[in-house]
Amino acid sequence: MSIRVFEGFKFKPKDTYFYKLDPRVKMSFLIVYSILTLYFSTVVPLSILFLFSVVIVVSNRVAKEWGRTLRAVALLSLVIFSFNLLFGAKGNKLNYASSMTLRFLTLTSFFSIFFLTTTPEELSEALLLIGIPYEYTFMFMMAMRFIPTLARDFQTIIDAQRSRGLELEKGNFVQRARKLLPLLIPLIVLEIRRSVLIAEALEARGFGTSAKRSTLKEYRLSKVDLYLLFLTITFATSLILSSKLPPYSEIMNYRLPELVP
Amino acid sequence: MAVAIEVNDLYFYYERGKYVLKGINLTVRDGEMVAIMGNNGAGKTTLIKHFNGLLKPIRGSVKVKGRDTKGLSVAELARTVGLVFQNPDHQLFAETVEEELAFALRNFGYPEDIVKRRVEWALTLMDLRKYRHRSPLSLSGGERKRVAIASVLCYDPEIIIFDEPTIGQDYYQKQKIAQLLRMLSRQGKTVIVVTHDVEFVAENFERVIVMADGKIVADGNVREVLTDPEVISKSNLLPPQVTHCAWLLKDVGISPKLIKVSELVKEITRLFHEHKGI
Repeated sequence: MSIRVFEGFKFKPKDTYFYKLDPRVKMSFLIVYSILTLYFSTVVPLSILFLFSVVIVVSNRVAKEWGRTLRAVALLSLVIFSFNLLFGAKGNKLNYASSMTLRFLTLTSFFSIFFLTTTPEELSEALLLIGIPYEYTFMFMMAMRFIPTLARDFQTIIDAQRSRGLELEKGNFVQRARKLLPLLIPLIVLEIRRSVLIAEALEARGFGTSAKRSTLKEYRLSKVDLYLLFLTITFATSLILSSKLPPYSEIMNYRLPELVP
Repeated sequence: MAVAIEVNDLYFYYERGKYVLKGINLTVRDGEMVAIMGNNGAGKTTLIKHFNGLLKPIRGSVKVKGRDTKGLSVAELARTVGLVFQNPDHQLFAETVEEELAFALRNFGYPEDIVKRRVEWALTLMDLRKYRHRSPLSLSGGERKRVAIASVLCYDPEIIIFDEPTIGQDYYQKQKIAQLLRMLSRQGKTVIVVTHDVEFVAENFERVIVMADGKIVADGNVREVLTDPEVISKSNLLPPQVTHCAWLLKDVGISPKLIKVSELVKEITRLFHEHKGI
């Protein structure tokens, strides 16, 4: 597992329609489709949802970054599939394993779309709008912002300890686990020190003085926003309805055949 | 004298195509004391990480005591090349200062009696005896730096590299570090120091290497290099304050090649006496 996994969860500046959407709309889009993905547990509607996400990915020209993340989680989905096939719920195991894997991939895909197209500022705005207090939103954003810094610190720590003769590759499992101490202790101490510094810097600049904060950019719903919101709701409703009403319900609830009779 | 480090046409990048080092050539002989200077992003730290094998050349070669680093692990090279990192917080982790110093020695598999002896020696050398049972993390910034230096000195590597040893040190500690460097040099160690501190270099070094944009722009005698206006402007360095003063006082007959405070004092005294004579 490398940094590449996260390529598809990192903002990537482009100039396509999904980028221009209001963060609130993008957030609702993510929530609605995540719930739908968890709601359905059969192969057909999950495939439709997955294909739908692919259409959005391709039409927004983020297929490369999305593809990296999907490839990176391919192994994990294989694990999900085989585990469910072997030890899954009673009944139709092939069907269950396939739909669980599809569900995982579809969720990954929708989250990837959201994070690829949303700037950190928009993300914090979106979190605020769903009612999360600013302190928590800010904390989350800071945590995200410091991931690269943390990675760099960790690399330096590894270098420093290797320079003192620490050989990470050698030894059995227990010995190797013990070798993590010289790496983790400096990292934790360093980050605690840094977080105290940041907290002091924030207080020095009056963080938390005013209860109501204004934002530099005011978000207004545009026509495209409303159009997509409408489409989202229509598509979601029609998916749910078709799974309930004949004649479509039969196709929608189609189950894969049993592997072993 | 034998060659300690030999760098031949070294090229290196972290990201494909974006070269950080562009054709570095240099030779450091046994027992030499060399300063490496250059502004941020010039490639100094990247270069010294090649000396103990943390980084391997993408093109060219680095040889340490005649052995190519390509086929050697960091642990193998670390016995010969000690590298003291800039920020001690990137390495301190042990429960006591003593344990911290023993870490490298134990990694190299020294027997306990030698570990004890070497730790004792390094504690005394870096003036850390009274902290031996304290946690290194509870010490002040300057003390932590000394622990980090001691933790490398204790296994007695032949070549010792310091990355910014004077950062965050008060004047007194800076003098102590200068003394330490000279002492190591007298013992026959090869000492390489990366620093921004041009006064520190002027007062304590004979040879300086100046880097800019991944290349070496000057390599030679400290006096020649630091008083060369062309090198100074090319590498975005400031000359030592004494040199700056000397340049401004050129018209009254002061030599523009001064780099040490004592030299300027001598020049001014000389002029003073000459004028009194008139």
